[in-house]
Amino acid sequence: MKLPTWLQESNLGMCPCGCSGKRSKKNFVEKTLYDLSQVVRNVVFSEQIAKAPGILQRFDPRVKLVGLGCWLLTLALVQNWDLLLLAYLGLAGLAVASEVPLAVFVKRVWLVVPLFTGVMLLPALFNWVRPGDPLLVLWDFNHPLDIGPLHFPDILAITRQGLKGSILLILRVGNSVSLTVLLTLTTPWTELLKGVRSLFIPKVFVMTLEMTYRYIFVLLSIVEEMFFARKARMIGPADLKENRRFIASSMGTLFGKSQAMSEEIYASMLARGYTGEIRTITSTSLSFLDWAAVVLIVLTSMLLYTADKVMGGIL
Amino acid sequence: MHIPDGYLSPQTCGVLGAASAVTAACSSYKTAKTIKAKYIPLLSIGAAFSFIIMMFNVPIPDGTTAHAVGGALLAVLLGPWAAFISVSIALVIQALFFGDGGILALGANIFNMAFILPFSAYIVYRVVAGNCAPGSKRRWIAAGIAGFVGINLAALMVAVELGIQPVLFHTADGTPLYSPYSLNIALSAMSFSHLLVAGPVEGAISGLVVAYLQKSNPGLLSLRDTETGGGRFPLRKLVLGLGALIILSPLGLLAKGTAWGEWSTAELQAKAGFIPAGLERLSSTWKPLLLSDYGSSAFGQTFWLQAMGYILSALAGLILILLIVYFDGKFFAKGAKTRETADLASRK
Repeated sequence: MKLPTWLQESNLGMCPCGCSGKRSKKNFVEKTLYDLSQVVRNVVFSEQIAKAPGILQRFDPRVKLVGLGCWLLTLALVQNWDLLLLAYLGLAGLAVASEVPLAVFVKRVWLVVPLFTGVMLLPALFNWVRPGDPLLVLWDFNHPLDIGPLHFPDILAITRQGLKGSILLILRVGNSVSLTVLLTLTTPWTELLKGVRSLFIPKVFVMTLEMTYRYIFVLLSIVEEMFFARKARMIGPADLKENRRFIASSMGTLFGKSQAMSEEIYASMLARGYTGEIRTITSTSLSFLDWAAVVLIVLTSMLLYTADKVMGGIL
Repeated sequence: MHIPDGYLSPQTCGVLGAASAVTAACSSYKTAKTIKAKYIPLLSIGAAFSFIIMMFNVPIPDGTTAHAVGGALLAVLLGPWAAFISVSIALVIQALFFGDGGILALGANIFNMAFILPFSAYIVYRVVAGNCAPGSKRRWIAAGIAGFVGINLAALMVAVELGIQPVLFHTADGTPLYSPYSLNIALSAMSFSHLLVAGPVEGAISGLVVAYLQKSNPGLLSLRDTETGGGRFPLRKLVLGLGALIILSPLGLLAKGTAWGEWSTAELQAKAGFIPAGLERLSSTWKPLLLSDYGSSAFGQTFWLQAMGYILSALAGLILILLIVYFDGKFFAKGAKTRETADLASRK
């Protein structure tokens, strides 16, 4: 089943044409409500893609998890730009073959990564922050600068090392995030947890993980109700102190409710015969296709790594 | 504070991942022994709670909003071991399902936010709060200070992890392979934002929630004593453990140093030639701003001097925190005493 787009709209209860009045700057209540709805929206969206008949959807989650780790490690070790670009093209091809809309695949990563990583890397380009060979001199002061206790060299320039390092880091972060997005979009969470369960992680942790994922949505709706109730009762802006007190008391209330809920869950688990021992359905064996995928993943990783060593570091 | 994949070298991720795995094993043993059968539902709900409070937007004075981690709050409410499990599971879910923080960097993120933050916050809370009554003012003040100190220590760890990357991993011509900022810059950037914004937010949230629970639901504050088996917290053991950590912190350096040594000798020579040239100039730039012995002896010298620099700075930080906590404790103990005498006087 596909959700209609207007149901996926994150702007809760607001008329999209703006006729319900001018919208002022979002306050923290609206922001939190928006974030909460965004979580649900993401989950619904990824469950839709996970059900599509694509290539990646066909593999066992264990294979995908192993592949994710293997490829992430390889990407972290590769230093050659061309190879990183090639890897990205490969990932984009996989995304298309798995019915992930290419626009979503590209936008999810390249709207966010340059914003955060790029801004963070900006100062590293200049020789005042990180010394290196000047590539483009922006300003020549003719003499070393002393601003208070700080000493700067006489030219301000973009360095070769800074530029190369920044491009490398952006490429690598982009690739890693794309890979993770690809995995989470093409695997339903129940399957993903099944994969985690069989990867030598203690059952206790996996069971806690499963229950947590389930109850996140319960707590989410509780918080949503609390914030909606607050929004409904607000007729004007409240002062900062009042708002913070509201946040703190809703956190406190949430903790109380959570604790009471955990008691109830424990009681119902006992009623259903829980003895403290965890039983899981034994996982099925891997098919021929899955083994082939494992071999392919390991081969591509080794190939990338060797190619990187042969072709030498960055240009 | 979630470090994405790509900023840290695989070697650093490996060392921190191993540290987190050991702590996870310890905590599952510890909580299994103390919380017993109620263990799983309580921790699951705790983790879900931790996930949700990371999404609360907290209004701050400049009109924008910030997020709290809530690790300190969970440590105060559930104890540090349960807080470790809850926050790490929340982090795993964020990384796996929502793409916040990297998968390879998960070990590092767990180490910073689920280990350093709750444990340091818990120690501070216990030291400041002492054995005062559950409803006393000192409790929520202690929780506030704990949140502030905890998140700043976690930020310090993040800064150190990011800051050692360019020293250890770069090409022959000095191009950084991972995060490009040196320790000095990473430290000042992280501490600036966390001392000013994230620290006060975390502190305010921890303190206000504890104050709220004191008024409305005081039973939840003693949850830790009844559910987690009570008993005194082995503070001395943890202090000893932390001491060991301080001494071991350069060991991570050593592990990464040998990994770096896999490269050819020509590159190594270039590396040895690079460090004094580039970083010493940099450290002289920033030297006046920070601890001077940290800046000058930590860079451009041999490995052992570098290691000494780490140990010294870690010690200095710890001593500073203990001093602050000690004087705070004295101050509040005095306040509590005078309040008691005042109460007695009014009763008479």
